[in-house]
Amino acid sequence: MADAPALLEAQGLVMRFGAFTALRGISATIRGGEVVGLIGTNGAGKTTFLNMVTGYLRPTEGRVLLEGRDVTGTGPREMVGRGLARSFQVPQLFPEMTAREHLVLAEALADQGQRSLLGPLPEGGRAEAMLARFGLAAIADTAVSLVPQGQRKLIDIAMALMLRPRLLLLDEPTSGVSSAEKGPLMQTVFEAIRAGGVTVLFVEHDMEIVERYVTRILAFRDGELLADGTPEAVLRDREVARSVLRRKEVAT
Amino acid sequence: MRRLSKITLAAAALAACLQAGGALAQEKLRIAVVTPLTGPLASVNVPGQNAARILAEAINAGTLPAPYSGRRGMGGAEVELFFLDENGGNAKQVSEFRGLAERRGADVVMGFGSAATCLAVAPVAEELKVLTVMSTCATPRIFEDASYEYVFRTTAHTTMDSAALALYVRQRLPEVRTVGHINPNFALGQDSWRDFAAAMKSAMPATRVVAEQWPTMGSGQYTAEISALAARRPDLIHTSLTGTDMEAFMTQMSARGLQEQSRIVAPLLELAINRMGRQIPEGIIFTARGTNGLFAPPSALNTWFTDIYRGRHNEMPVFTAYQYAATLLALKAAYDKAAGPAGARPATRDVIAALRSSTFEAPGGTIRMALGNGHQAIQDTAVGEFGFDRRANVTTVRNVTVFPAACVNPPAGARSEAWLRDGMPGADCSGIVNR
Amino acid sequence: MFRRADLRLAAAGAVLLAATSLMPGWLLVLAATALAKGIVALGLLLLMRAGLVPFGQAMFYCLGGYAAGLGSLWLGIRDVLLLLLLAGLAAGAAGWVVGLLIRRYRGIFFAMLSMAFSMILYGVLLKSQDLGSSDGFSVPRPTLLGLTMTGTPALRILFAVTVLLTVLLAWGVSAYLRTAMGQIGPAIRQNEVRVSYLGYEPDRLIHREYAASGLLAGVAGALVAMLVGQVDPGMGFWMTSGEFVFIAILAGTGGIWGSLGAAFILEAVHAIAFDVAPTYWRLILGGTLLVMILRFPAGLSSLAPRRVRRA
Repeated sequence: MADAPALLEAQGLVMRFGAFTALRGISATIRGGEVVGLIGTNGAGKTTFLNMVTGYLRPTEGRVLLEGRDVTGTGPREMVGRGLARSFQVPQLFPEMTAREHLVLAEALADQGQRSLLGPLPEGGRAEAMLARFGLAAIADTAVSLVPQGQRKLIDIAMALMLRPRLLLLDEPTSGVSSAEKGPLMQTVFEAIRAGGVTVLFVEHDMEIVERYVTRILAFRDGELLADGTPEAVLRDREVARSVLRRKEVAT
Repeated sequence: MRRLSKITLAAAALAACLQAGGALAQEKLRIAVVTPLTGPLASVNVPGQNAARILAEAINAGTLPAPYSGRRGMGGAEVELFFLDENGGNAKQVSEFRGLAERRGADVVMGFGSAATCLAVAPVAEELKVLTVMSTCATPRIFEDASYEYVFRTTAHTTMDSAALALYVRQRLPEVRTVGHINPNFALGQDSWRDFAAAMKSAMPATRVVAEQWPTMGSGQYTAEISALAARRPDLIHTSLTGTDMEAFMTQMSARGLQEQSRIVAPLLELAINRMGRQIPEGIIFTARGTNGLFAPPSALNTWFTDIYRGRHNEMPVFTAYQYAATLLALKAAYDKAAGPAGARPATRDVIAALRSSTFEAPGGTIRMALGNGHQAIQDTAVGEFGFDRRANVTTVRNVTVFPAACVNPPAGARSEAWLRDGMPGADCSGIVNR
Repeated sequence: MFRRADLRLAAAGAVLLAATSLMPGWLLVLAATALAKGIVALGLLLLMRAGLVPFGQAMFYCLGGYAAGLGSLWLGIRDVLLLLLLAGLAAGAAGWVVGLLIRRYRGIFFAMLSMAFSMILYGVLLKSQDLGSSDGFSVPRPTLLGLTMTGTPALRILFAVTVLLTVLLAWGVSAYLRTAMGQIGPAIRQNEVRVSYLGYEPDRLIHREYAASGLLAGVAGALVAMLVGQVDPGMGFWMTSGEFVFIAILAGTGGIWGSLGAAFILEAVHAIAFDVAPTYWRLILGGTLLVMILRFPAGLSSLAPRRVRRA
């Protein structure tokens, strides 16, 4: 995997919001086929990092490269066009639309290169399959504002997967989900991911989940990249243990 | 069962709506008065409404003085007025006009304060063959751009104002060399200035325009324009501001003393004199779209009209009131003549024949339907200087010059704009009277 | 392609066409005006589904009217269908140009910018003496495929053209609302950021729908101009825009029937109030609107049955 070509490269990313510096020069490379976990305490800059590599924020300094091409600050729509997709810490859904409508819209937008958006909405296509895969069939025709949090997260992630991305970014996929549901949720997600052969970067606080799925870990602290390596290496690292894991244990 | 009766009810209502006219129109003569009842022009046209009601009552009661005394009603029929708001846009007015003819059984339609409505409605009146008599709307375009069988206007149009004012200035203020103006930037103001400027160029070719101010209609705030006019110091300033705009301008202008360094010519001042009274500076030159109001020659008809109007509304009638009165009197004369002694309801074309090219008496004097093939009125007019008698607490007018109709109205077939520009050829000014 | 709803639309159109010969002139003008305003409301439907309320839609209505008038007088085009096409294209093009700027704004800024543009047009027309300033100018009776029209038959033909055009445009909007692109508007309203994260630029959709709404309003303006035979700057005044917004709010964003129904109801109330209370019609109209909004906060289109359980 170390020989796989670089998919996403962050080079010296710095983010300043006025006097406050959220990221202090992050450099990391994600290669095709990896499953990368991004850990760190709250406020460490993880979501800011995701916002930057998806083009939602323009970095104060530094560059973002996608397959070698500089895409710094291009904007989410273009990044999605280049094969990126993202889910959100708080699920970003359309409150009045149903789960099915979400996935159908995502399917139509994913295929907009091949099929005109002025054509009829896709019926019985990938969206149906995805609903089934994520176990959403029961609530497929309910407005998502009436749906429990766990399923809202699934819809959020399912939408991202509908885009057939090459790089999937998940922001705290299990946050707000009860402990009982966490495992099954991630299992469903990763089955779907493996079926598609997608590179993944996900932010997570639950170390059990992290250890189960990742091939590599990035650890953030106060806007800096503290460690970058295999799970075994990073999780045994002293600094990481003290500042990231210890604090996390105290919080739980 | 309930559903069926609902449907039947709805169908009956629909059928009733679709029936043209109705049993109402048989006995009474229904006259629809289209006038602004709401909106910014309402205040200027309310005197017209008031006068229409007074005249209708008097016609029905038979209490009109000479030369209308003797016969009640119009052609023996009782007159019933009903009012329609001249608002809501042209499309609304056109569909309402059709409603008047097809649904509400109007025998005659009168009124119309706005040039835009007149222009929109005239072709429809012609198409539906509804006798339509415009009382107020001022643009010359109606009978110069087209000719009509069913449409009449019983008031002279604004060309007369401009011609008379220019001749007045030439006669009374021969030393005027420079002219400025402040006119609202829409059709009324643009047309008024264009006509006055053309008339001045013909009457006093040595004058030149040194200041032009075009405030937005309805602005109400004229400080910048007044400053500009004050700086240029023209000998004469023309303004066709009207209604509340005129009131605002008068107040702001007199505070700056603009009338001290320039003589002001305000064709539409008369409409504001009741409300403003003593607040209007002395010496402003104005007219009243004919020998109306303060300019009216003494007559039994005028005395009767002003007494009743003042008794009922506590103020003197302004020229819109005179115009609506003139329309009803013209109609009465025509209906009486067309009905003949037997008194049967005359056919519309007989009324038209009686109205066309007729001459009739109105509170403001004699009106002749002399232009537009007998469909457009001309009348004498007068120009004077505004004054306020503080002891008697009344508005007065001084230095009046009366211009006969043939002097200040274009001759038959002439186009007003060209007539003014070309020096008013064919005008017969032999009957001018100075008082 | 054709659903049951489309057949209902065609049936309604057929009923109106059949009634044409029974309707007196005033009713033809009233109904045609109501349908024209319904067409404007269809354009507003698109924008309001995307969460935007333009306060200057009268600009395109006015442009369409003047385009029809000037097309007749200056270009000598007399055919009603050609004039409608000209008006639609002119207004649509203007919508596209204004859209270049306005597509980036939302909420009150979008509303006010839209109004600002319409007042610019109003001001220009008012100052233009060549175009008759506030008096406007007359629009001659158009011809249809070479046939000249006069009198009440002309009204019937114009009404029939209006009915057909309304049915066609309503069907078009209805079909559009069933496509994928038709779902993006509500998605933008509910979560604009998510739309860009699904790979579609929200501004782009708003630009297109704004231009389309301009085209619809322009066609409506041309219809009314030819019906009434007169155009004036008042067609572009902010109060005219306000009337369209009233209709759109009463309609709700559910679908075309709300928009067409609301236009009809308001036009009918306006006419009845005018007749019954010539001095107080504004009070009646405003009061009716208030009562209807309180009773149907989501608009008339919320009366349509829904197959989906929603909040």
